[in-house]
Amino acid sequence: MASPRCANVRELLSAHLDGALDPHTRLFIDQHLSSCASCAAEAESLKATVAIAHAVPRLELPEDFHAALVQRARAEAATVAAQARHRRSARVPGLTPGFGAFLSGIGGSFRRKPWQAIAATAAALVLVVWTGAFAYLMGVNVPGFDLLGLKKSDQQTLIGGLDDRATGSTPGSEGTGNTVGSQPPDMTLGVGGAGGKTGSGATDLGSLTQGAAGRQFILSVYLTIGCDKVSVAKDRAVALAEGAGGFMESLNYWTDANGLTVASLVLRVPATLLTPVLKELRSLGEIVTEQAARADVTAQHIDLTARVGNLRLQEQRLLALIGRAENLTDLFAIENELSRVRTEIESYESQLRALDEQISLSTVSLTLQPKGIGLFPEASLWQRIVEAFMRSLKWLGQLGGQIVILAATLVGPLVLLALLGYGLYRLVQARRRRMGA
Amino acid sequence: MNDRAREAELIARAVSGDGDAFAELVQPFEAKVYNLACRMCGSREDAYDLAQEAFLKVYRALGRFKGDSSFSTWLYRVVSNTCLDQIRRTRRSRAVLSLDAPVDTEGGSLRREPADASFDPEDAALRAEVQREVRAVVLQLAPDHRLAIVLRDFEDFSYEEIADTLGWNPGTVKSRISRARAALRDRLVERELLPRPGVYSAKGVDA
Repeated sequence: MASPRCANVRELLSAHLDGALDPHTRLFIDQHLSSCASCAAEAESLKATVAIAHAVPRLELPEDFHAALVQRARAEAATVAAQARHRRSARVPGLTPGFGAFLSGIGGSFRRKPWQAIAATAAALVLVVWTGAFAYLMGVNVPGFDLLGLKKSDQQTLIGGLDDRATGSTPGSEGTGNTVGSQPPDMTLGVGGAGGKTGSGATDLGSLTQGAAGRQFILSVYLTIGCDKVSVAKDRAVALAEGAGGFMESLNYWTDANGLTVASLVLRVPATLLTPVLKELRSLGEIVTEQAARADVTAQHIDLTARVGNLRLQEQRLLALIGRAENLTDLFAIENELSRVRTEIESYESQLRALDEQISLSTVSLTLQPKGIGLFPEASLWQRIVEAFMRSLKWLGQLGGQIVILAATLVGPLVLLALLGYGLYRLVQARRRRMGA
Repeated sequence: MNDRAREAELIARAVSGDGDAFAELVQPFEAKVYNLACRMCGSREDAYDLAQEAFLKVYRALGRFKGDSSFSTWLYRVVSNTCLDQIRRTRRSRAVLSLDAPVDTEGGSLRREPADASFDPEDAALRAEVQREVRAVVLQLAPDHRLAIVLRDFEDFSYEEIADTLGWNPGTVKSRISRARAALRDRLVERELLPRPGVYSAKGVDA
């Protein structure tokens, strides 16, 4: 062992042999081995030792091992189950004696007056059914129901008035390192069928894609189109995205319970070509809804870039230190720190890549459905009757909901009052009886 | 992916009290765990009991497995800790093989390995005396060092897997493996089962 450096190297030889060292440490050791015969011999000897250890044959598992384990596992399962049963049976009365007594009290009073039990059950049933019907009406979409009352023009969404909003608030904060000042708010534009906006169907996304110079956005568009042949339009949409250098990320193509074929696609389109592609997509049929959103990720981007830069500097400093390590502890510490820094760099870089990908490729969520779904420009008499009936049901549901809420609000105070009243009644009764006696 | 789903299903069934599901869940690990136990405690009978005990511990603790790590990592953690506990418990009561104990040659003469470049570790490993020495040295290592070399060189774990399984930091893993291997090497050289370093160096440099 010629120098302290040799001692360091020998300590690392084992990990070096397994390729478990950081690339720079590895290089450092390789260089040393090529110039130090004694350490090189040591490395060879260690290699032979490891080869011997690796080649020592494995032992066969005794034949009855598995059977024995099955036996013991079954026994264990039985014990655990027995314990669990024991715990369960012990817990109920132990945990809440008051509540238990309360329950049995109610049971007792119902035994004395069975009609009360029947009435209570019936009331509970009514409540459950009512709530269920209410939830159904409110939560579940009756096909075409929501759109019944709307005219076609209402459902086209327009994206406008964006330019002023987008450019009005761009602080010149690029390149200022980690700290970034206020940024333009993320925005969502256009909501289908809600605002009742009317006007020309031509939608201009130019402002969306260009935005403010120097800032970075993730663009998402949600588009629903009614078309003559969904299968054809679907293929056309994919071809459009691919033609623009994008791709199809996912496709759902199904026929629903009413026999309507619907395709739902997620397309990724280069942000620079989003406007022309959207234009083509809209020409596939009639626009039912269109929404667009953009998220400003400039700050996030700058932050990630800065972090990677800082870590790279740190990496350089650590590399410089490794040749100068005085002892083993330092060496391992530096080596550790180096691999930690590398891991972090890789993690941030992959986040950065993902972000870049999202920025450069806009997402178009496209739903293609047959023309006329949800649109009844000339509703027949029967349809109007159905519509009116559905409306009345919905109204009833809402009313029911209000009543339920009111009842729920009153339950607490009413129970309290009832208890108080009952207590007073019993008190008065008792006093009367005593007086009578 | 399918294996993962199957594994999750077996875990759920085992937790809810299905002993057979548990046996199926751990069957792929039985041989490895048994070997690990053998290397750690030295005798096959003890290893058999130790491995069974370790699996039962895994079963009892299965409800606490939250899927933070892979199931196999978690299983080896429980098994490793069981082995370490067992070793620590019996260390004082049991005579540990001395480093200076003479090699049992079983009537045969101890073959001297010529110190030349034609030394073949794989051939060496097939010789009973080499295997015995390897086992004996491993058993003399401190429990942590023993576990490190057993997992690395006998069970073929990667450094990361060892760090994850035992919750050691990477530097500790490296240094423990390094120490254990050095001890093994010194012992093999001492018994002349391995050429002395320098004599057969690949570069042809003399010691």
